[in-house]
Amino acid sequence: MRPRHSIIEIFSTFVNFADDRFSNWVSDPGLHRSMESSLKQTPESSHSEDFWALHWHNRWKQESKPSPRVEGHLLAYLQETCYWVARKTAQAGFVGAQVGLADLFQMAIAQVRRIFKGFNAGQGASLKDYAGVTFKSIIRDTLRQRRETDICSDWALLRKISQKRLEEALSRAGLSPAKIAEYRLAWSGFKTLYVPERGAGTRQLPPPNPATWEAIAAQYNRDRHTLPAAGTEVSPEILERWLKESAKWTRAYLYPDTTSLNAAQPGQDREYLDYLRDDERESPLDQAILQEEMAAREARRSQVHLALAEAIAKLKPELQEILKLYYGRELTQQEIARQLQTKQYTVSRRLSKARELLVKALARWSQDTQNISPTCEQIQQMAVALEEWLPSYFEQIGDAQIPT
Amino acid sequence: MTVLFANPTEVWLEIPPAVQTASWQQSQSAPTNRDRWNSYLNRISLDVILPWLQQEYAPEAIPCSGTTANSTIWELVGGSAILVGNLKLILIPTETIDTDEFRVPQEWADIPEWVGDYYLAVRVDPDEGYVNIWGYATHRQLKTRGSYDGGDRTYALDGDDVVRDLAVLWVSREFCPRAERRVAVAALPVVPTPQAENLLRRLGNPDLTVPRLEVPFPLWGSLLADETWRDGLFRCRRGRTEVNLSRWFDNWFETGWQAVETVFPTSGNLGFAFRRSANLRDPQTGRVPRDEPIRRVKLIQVGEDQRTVALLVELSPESDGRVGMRIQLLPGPEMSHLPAKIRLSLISETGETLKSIEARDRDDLLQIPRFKCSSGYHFSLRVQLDEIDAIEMFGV
Repeated sequence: MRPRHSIIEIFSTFVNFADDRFSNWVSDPGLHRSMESSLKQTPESSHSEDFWALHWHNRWKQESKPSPRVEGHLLAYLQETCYWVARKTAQAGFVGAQVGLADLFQMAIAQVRRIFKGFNAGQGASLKDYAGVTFKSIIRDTLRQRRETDICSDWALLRKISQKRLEEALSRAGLSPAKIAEYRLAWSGFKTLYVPERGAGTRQLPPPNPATWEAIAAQYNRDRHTLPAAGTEVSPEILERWLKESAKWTRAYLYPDTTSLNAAQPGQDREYLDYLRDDERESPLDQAILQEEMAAREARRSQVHLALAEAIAKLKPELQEILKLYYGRELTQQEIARQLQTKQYTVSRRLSKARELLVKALARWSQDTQNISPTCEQIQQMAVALEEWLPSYFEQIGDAQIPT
Repeated sequence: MTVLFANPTEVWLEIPPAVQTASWQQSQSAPTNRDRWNSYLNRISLDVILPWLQQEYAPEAIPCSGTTANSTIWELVGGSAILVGNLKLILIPTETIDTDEFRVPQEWADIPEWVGDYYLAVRVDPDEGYVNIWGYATHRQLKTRGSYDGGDRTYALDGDDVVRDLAVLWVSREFCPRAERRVAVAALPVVPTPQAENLLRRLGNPDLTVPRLEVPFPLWGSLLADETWRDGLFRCRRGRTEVNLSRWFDNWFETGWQAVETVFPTSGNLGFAFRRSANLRDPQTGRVPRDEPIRRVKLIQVGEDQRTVALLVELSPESDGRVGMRIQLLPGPEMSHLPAKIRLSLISETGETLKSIEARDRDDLLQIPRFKCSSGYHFSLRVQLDEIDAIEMFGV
């Protein structure tokens, strides 16, 4: 992949894939013009990548309904991060041949709003670092869900989805809100009345029998008055069709068609009519605040690294080892289990314990340096930040100390 | 257990095969398949998570009001409570693959006695044999950020609002012990005994798939908050409580209802004998019905000192198709008198007290005057001593 160099490029171009490999950067003319004029309005000193990342993210947080322009710049910015996370996952080999690089990339970028929402600039990590960690966890979680979904029968799958997922899958399939309500009522009756009769083998749940379908229909027809638009009476056959469709759409939800994504649609010349409104211009004061924020973040980052190094050194050797293997060598939990000749859940438990002790150490460090106990929210952000710091910490100390 | 794509911020625990087998076996007594399945998932989650908590974080962790209490809840609503010192954790297990949202039944959020500090989102996969705690929320987060869904009476918290790192829970516990994890919830109304009995009869029907959605929440909530009623409802749904009198004619008797001769081998000496010949004659026709009356007796313990008394029920078919009932309360086999001030009441289907009598000093018999009832009628008998109740329910 050719790295992007100019600030304009970094905030206005998108990855294009060909044959499941990086092909080229595609520019979005609207975003290009927007960046150009934004740069003209700010002094040369603030023309850094970090500055603009913070700037657009601040704007995203301020706007109640973020404009496509602001989202576009952020989305362009995170293309590389997402690409590298996807590429690393693809190379790890455990994904399976059927999942391509472009697929992994789309899987992660589709949920990019979670990153905009979850990122907190004041915590010492950069948007890029945070995005890297989050993309990684989104990909892992989506792959897990696909794997579990693929081995479920339709009936098992319907029992194993949340109501929210069902609604989103139906909505993506293009159903109207009234229709979604009907399908949801049918699903809820199904889930209530059809339960496994054995303690295992729940993934191969067979179809309900005629008596159960009758019961589901009876419940639907009894409760249909609760629907927003009073539905008509339905037969067991119709319910069965609805539920089969729901299962199909739920599966499809995990394999989104790239064109349906709310993500990048590069190459289109979108005109951002709003993009030069006066009130959107950054005031010099705001710029000063952003600069200060960046400086404070850098200072905090190096302090945290010291505190973290100290805390890691105090851990029991077996916990240190787990951390090195997981964050330093980037082995999966199974690979670590194999290497240490133990069970995966032992690895998972040790990893949890090590992370807990480190979050605790960071909380104590924060308490000692600020003379005030951290709040629950701050502790939560420290834990998120830890996920970003650990890999870079192990990168810094180098491979030499990592046991093989 | 192999979880290919485990995130380090989540906790993955193995379900030991022995726990899984035992959980399934222990759930077999549930009245319906649905109840059995819910008990099974809840039992697994408690029996896997509690030992892990005790081992890794808090040796002092205990199930909230004894395991038995948790298991009586599971057939009514999912979830278990664990106490860690003064902190209350609520486990909410599901089988859901995705983590788009976290739903908590209203009972755990709105019954004042049930409210917890932390709610743990637990995924149970009986096939892969693992339990995954994928996140948690405080009561405050649930009530302020979650949206209430009246359809299934849950608080639904968006997956992005769930704290996806259990390390944060333990560290917050230490560093912000006084953080406000709970918000105030409204007190629930006190349900008067007759109404509660009535509700118990209605909701105790195991044919009702989801009793928790059948009556308005405040009523349901206060019923569940009271341990006696909750236990009654649990037993009712398991069909243990209501005595089916029509089956007595087929010689089928519920556990505990014994022949008079078995309980009182020397019954001839006792003063309780009904003046049978006179009373069995139908006042209208003057005829003595062909069928012999059926008499059974049950020993029950009442009062603070658990005194044993005998409840005797006699029924006889009437010529008009109804059933004649006679009810007596007698001293237990080892006693010569009834405890003073013991009270026997007959309560109607709608919870109304039809007749109530109290023993004086040295009484050896309390008797409800003979009455007749038609098939399908329900009533209950209450024996009260020192403000402590024993209730027996009957259906004809």
